Amino acid sequence: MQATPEPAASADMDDPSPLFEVRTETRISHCSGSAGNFQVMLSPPHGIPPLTFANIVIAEDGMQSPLFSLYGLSACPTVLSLSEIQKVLSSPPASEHTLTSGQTAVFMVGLAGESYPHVLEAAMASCLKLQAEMGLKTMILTRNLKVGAPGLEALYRKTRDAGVVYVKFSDALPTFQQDAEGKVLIAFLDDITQMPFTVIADVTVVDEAVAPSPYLKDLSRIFCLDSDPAGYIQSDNVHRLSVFTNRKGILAAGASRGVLPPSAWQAEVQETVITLLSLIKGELTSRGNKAEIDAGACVRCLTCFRLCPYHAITLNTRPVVMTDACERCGMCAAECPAKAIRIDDLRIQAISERLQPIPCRDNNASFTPFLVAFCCSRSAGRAKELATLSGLSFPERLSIVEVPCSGSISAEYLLAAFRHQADGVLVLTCHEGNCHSERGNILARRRTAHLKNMLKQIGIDPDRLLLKTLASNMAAEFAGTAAQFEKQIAEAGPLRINKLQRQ
Amino acid sequence: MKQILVVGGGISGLSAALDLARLGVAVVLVENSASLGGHAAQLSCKAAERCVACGACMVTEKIRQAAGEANIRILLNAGVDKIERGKCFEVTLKQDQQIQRIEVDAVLMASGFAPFDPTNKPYGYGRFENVMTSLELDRMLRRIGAVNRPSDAKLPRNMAFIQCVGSRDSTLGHLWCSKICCGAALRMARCIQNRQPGMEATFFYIDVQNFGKNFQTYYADTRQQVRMIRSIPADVLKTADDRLKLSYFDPDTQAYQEAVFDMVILSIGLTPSESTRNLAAMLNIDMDGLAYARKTPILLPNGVFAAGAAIEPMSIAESVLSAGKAACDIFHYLETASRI
Repeated sequence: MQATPEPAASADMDDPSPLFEVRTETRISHCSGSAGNFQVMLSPPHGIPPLTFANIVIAEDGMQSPLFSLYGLSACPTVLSLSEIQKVLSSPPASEHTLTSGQTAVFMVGLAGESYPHVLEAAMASCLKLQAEMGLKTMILTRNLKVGAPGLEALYRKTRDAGVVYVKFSDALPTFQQDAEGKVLIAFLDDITQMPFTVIADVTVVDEAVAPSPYLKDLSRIFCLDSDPAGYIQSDNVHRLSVFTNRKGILAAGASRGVLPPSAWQAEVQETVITLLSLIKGELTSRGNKAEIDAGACVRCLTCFRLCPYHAITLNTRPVVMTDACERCGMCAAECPAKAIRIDDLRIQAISERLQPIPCRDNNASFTPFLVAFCCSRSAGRAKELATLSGLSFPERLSIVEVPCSGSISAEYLLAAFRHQADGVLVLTCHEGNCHSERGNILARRRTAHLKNMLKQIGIDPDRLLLKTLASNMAAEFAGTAAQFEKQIAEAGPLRINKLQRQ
Repeated sequence: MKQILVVGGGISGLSAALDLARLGVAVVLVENSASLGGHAAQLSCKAAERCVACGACMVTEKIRQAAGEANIRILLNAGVDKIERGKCFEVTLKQDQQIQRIEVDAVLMASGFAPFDPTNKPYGYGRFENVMTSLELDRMLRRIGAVNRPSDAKLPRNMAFIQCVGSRDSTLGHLWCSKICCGAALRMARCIQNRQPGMEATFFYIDVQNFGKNFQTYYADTRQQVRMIRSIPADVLKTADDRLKLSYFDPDTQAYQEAVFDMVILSIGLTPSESTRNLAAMLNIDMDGLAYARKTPILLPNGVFAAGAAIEPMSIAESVLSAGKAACDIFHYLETASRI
């Protein structure tokens, strides 16, 4: 765990002696504040004033646990993990171990679950040494040979030439029987020849499962960081590439953000440094109006505090927006039950001004529907731009309202569009799992479904409101969706709202 | 103000250029084609219901950011004609027959990869219209938002994906796994299945490589949706009714089998690009044939850096990381050089 102390972070790059303080056996117990001014409590020592940091880097190492039990094996001097055999082979003299020429060593790599290239690499390197230098017969049992890393295909060929035997499994796995001396009888049906084989392994090497450090769970809670399903503190979202988390100023590197080979660690460090430099220069702060909470109207229900995906709202005596961390997604403003939050350019008045109906080009022509499309600016907005550049055509009376995130599209927006004589309204969001604010598109979907219900109740065809997901590079789909919707609404005819419905 | 040259406007070049420009370094970005984004900008979104984190959409954002960044000067249809090393690098650039000379403090090779040309493989590429490369399939889906057969514009009822075309191939001397093709093909197959329900996909492979953060789950799920055959087909022939017949050794039945498909997709590998080679020659870098098969990185002269698929096959996410590393190296180089 390392943190950037504020003096070092703000110090001149040319300072030859940056402040560097190392605290061992220390855990984080609490964190408040936001980028540029994080207040972090350590333990031990307890009870002292918190330390202030501009930015925080989480670089916890991962965990490895040998998969003995998954193969029904128990560890003994001749049944060992991949890290153990690597240690034996790298600490001379290796002969102190019971490894002797003529023995058979069998490696299991990615049999219990899919493995990783760096694990295969370690197994291949060990086999090569055992086979070529120490005269053992070696075998690697695997499902999919993970050669997807630099030099591994070449290394694979080299080990095969040296006599390493590979057996690959697709469905049926081998069975293992370990005897009292630690020898293992391995029986399997060979995938290629469909013949039964048995091998007696004098030495059995088992690979290790790779998992996140258990401490990440605490850190995720303390720093309010989204985790991926495996427990790494970076969600599986392309907007977090490479070392970003959902919180501004908190970065996750190496085995804190996923399974990375040791060969990538250097790149991780450098990517982290370059990202920190940009953060310190303020280059990564989103520009534009930020969320503001009207203290008088706020009822302190804390909806915004719980909802903010960036954790940009802090609690004082009442919720307060940390402006630098606000990404303008507008989720808080859209969900606030007291309507106490506003982002100036996303206020309903500002949106309404952008909803002026587009007149028909030809009044004598048959009905041309007026359509409004609310577009998330990171996905559909860019797809529209790309479609324009590609020369694709759009419905004649399509009005586009770009918003920073579809999470800001409130029921009010949608109703305003209908009030401004829209015959149909599109809500275009990114795909689930692609939202920069993690859950904005899910909120938009929920609200759209809710409003469709309401429309039905007041006698408006709910199909006049449509939500579609688009990626920023889906220009053809943008144009296709808009054209299809125009056709559908043209067939449905103009929307006539009576006074009762207007209310 | 320090100035650097970035050769290549793909995802790596754009990422590194942005990283450095934000730190106040002037960047001249030369791209030999007419638009930014490189191969990544030709790829289609492969989301089914959910995003599969292929990263293809990231390039749209990077292009936009680079175009709006004052410290980046973008030269399209441009290439490096000559580089001479003096106190700094004296570079002659050629843009649409126009020659211009610039001086830069460092050079970043972000010149990407060249897709393998499968014409000489026994899969009928170039002879049968419905045999396409994976890249062509991406372009088609991106252009028209659907996949149909080039010969008759009908939706395919079934498709075969053949992996490792030009990769892991000792007869070609290509002793490398291209790494990104398994993910591209399987995500593509499921994306098409989602858009065009009922399409049956068959995946011919040697080993499935990891892709994405949730690979284990995604792969387990994919095995239920896509027929996986651990075999590389021997050849592809056209049938009388304009379909494609594949023969392959089937590991399940231990016999040669034939199967007929509406379309065949060749997952073509990555190879070092011509511009990387040219640049290496100008800078006296020993590429020793094909750098892709190497374990160790290419040794680069002082002031010259490399990022992305110019070094080895990389996914979009890995290219962004590689660009960050290169940007950090360059920034450090410029800072230390200025002190001397």
